[in-house]
Amino acid sequence: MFTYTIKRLLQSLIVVWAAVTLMFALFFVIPGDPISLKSGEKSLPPEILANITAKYGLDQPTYVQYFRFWSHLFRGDLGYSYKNDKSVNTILHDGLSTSARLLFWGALLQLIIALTVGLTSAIKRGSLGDRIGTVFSVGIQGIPVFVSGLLAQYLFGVLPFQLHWDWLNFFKPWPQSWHAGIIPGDSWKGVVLPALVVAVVDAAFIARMLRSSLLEVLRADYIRTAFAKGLSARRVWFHHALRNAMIPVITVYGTSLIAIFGVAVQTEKVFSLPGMGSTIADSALSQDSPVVLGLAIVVIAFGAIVNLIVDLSYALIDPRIKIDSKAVH
Amino acid sequence: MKVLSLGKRSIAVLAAVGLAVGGTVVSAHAATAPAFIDCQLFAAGEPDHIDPALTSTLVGANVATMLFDGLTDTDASGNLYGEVASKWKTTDGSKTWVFTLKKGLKFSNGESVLPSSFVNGWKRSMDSKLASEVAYHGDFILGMNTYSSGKGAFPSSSVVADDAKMTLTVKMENPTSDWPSIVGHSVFSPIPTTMVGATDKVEEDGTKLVGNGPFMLASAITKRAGGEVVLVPNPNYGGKTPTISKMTAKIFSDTNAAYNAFASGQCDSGPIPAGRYTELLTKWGTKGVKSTLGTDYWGFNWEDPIVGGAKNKYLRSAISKAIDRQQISDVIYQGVRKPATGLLPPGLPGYVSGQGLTNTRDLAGAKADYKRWLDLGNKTPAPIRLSYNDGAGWDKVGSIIIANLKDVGIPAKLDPFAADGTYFSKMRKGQGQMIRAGWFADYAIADNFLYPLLHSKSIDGDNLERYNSKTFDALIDSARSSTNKSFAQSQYRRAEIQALRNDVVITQTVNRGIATVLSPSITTFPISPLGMVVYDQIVKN
Repeated sequence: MFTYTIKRLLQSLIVVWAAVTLMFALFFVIPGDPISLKSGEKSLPPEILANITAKYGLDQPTYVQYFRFWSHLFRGDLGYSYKNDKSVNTILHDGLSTSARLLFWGALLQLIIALTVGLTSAIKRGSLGDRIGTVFSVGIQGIPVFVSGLLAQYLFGVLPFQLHWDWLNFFKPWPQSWHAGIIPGDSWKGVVLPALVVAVVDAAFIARMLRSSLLEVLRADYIRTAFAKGLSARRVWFHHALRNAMIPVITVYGTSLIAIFGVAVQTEKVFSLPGMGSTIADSALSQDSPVVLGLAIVVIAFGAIVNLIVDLSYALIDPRIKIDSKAVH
Repeated sequence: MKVLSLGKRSIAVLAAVGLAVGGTVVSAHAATAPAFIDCQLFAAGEPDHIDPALTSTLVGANVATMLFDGLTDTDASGNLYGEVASKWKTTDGSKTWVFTLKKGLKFSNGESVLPSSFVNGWKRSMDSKLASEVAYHGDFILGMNTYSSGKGAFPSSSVVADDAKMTLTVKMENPTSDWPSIVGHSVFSPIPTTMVGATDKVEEDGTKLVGNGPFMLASAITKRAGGEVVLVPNPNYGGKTPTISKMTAKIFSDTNAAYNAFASGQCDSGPIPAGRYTELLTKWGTKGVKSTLGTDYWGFNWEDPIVGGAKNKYLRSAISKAIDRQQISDVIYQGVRKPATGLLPPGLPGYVSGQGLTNTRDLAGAKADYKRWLDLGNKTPAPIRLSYNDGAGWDKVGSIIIANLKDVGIPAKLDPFAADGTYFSKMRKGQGQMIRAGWFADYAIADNFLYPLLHSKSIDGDNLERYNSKTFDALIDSARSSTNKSFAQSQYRRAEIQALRNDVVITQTVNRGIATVLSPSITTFPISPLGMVVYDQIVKN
């Protein structure tokens, strides 16, 4: 297991290097340049352009810029944004905490919604609840985030404000301070809507997956045996059926955690949250390569770590699955 | 030892991660003060900087002008007035300007505002190492271009401070009768001695960006969507104390979200999403609507064989007369941007209405001009390309123009360019035929429109049409070198007529404007013609 983990970590490092190198190269291939984007509608005199180009080292050959990027990276310096001269390290520090919090609450809500809907649908198969769950699952997946986000803002922000139903107004600013992980006062409300929007997209898919997985497990002989032994339905459902049904669900949930990053990008944009997702989107559009590259390293590393955790978790959940380091090859 | 079941273990792990990453939620009743008291600004984008030496965006400049007072400024009515300067005069026909500064003014840290504070500020903002995008505004000053391009030292003999007499003497590269207006730009702000040599990161610390304006930074800023800039009144301000106790600029990157935040009670002002001007201004009122010093127009590539040059003047005039500006104003901007009658916008000193070829749509005139052009031996052209930067809604304006031209029989089509920032550089290289463009004043003077947009020396720059007219150039050059302000203004007016009526190199569409929705508690919301909200004069009940 230890050897396997080390090998997977080394593989992940190679993936990060290759992906960042590819992205670095892309910035020199795609049309436009960051300085043109910086100047916008009004042209800048050549001497001003030269000052800006020199300031960011863009007057150096590509390979020099590439090696300088990695040499700074090894020193922990990701450079400065072309857009507003802010340190990429600072952007990462600010953005990572916001995104991590959004992803955590989104993933937690997703799991709660998926388990509730999936279990209800399976236990009450064919019932009204099952049908509602199926409609919810299919319907919610088709709604783009920018629509569900704006709809949530209206239903749980604009409308309650107009009706003076302040208790239902959950469209509040994202908490500015989290003292030792604690959200002060009323500002927890600012987390609810973005987390919900992140959660619902894949929650529907996971719920459907859980439902079909559970129904399949329930047809297994050992479940019939468990009932025949006189075990309570609750014990059979939760101890025997759910545990086994969770294997494919966890695989999907792991993939979903990576996909959730994409949803978070849009959610952060729709809610104007200071997270990494919205920063990636804005920086990519303005070809702010130091920011994009810095954030890409984190995103790719995150993906690699989640994949590793998912693989390792198989062995924890199902003792029959063993990880063989040689099997990697 | 009791082993936790899978479910309990999962919950325990999730709770632990939750505490580490997100924390737990405490009671909503654990009262803390609201994050903002008065929130007047919704910025539908990120400020690049709020440092006056560096900012090049309206959002950033608006905050910078609240933090720093310059020598002069333009009030909400468009009138020039002395901010730090009490008076100014030229001693040799606009080649040298002497500003006398008010005494007793202080920065927010208590340091006095002196003429040398301006020298320090200009030394910093024009320094090539700071690489400010707006440093070129200093090129009016004798020898400053050499300094800002890193080829020489600061021109100390051109900017002379006498702290004892409280005078600042500035020598110009050429006679510049509009210098008192130009020097009001935020790049010419003063700085205290603590900011000498400050880098481009100084603004990120709430305590180091020290200004002399009505407000000061309350805390470190977050220059990105979701962040905010909080200003509080400057206790050492020499002017009138702001009427609000705090100003918070919340930064949004999405107009719809920003409006929803306003409509759900988060802020006192907000932007209007595209296409909802009529609905929302009816609902919230029009106190936040103001015409600003900007004009949208379409230009003709002067070097294009179909639409360019003197021989195609009748085709250009036919197009200009065919365009229904009222329709563009009503349909696209729902009246917020008014039909323009010339390149120079209303409110600009020396503005005269009706300088363009036509004020209203002239379909008969358009048909007649098109027939004249065909009678000269020209054939119906291939569809004329209406070039624009995609993704900003210009296709809707272009579609109206295409329909307008169809009424005359002139074929036209949309020619979108990718929104990758290269549109303007491609237009500068002559790749457009009919070119979408617009201009917003840096300072309230005619020269700020006519010289960069149409002078032959601006070809490869903002003269996207590559217009090259000796008559036009001579008029502008004579206006620039004149020491007589009224003569200069008459020359600028003649130049505008030469370009728009005689040569028809561009055709104006609408003048720009700002539309903001305001909560009923806001009774006064002044906006300057340069698009700056005068936050210190806002009145909130």
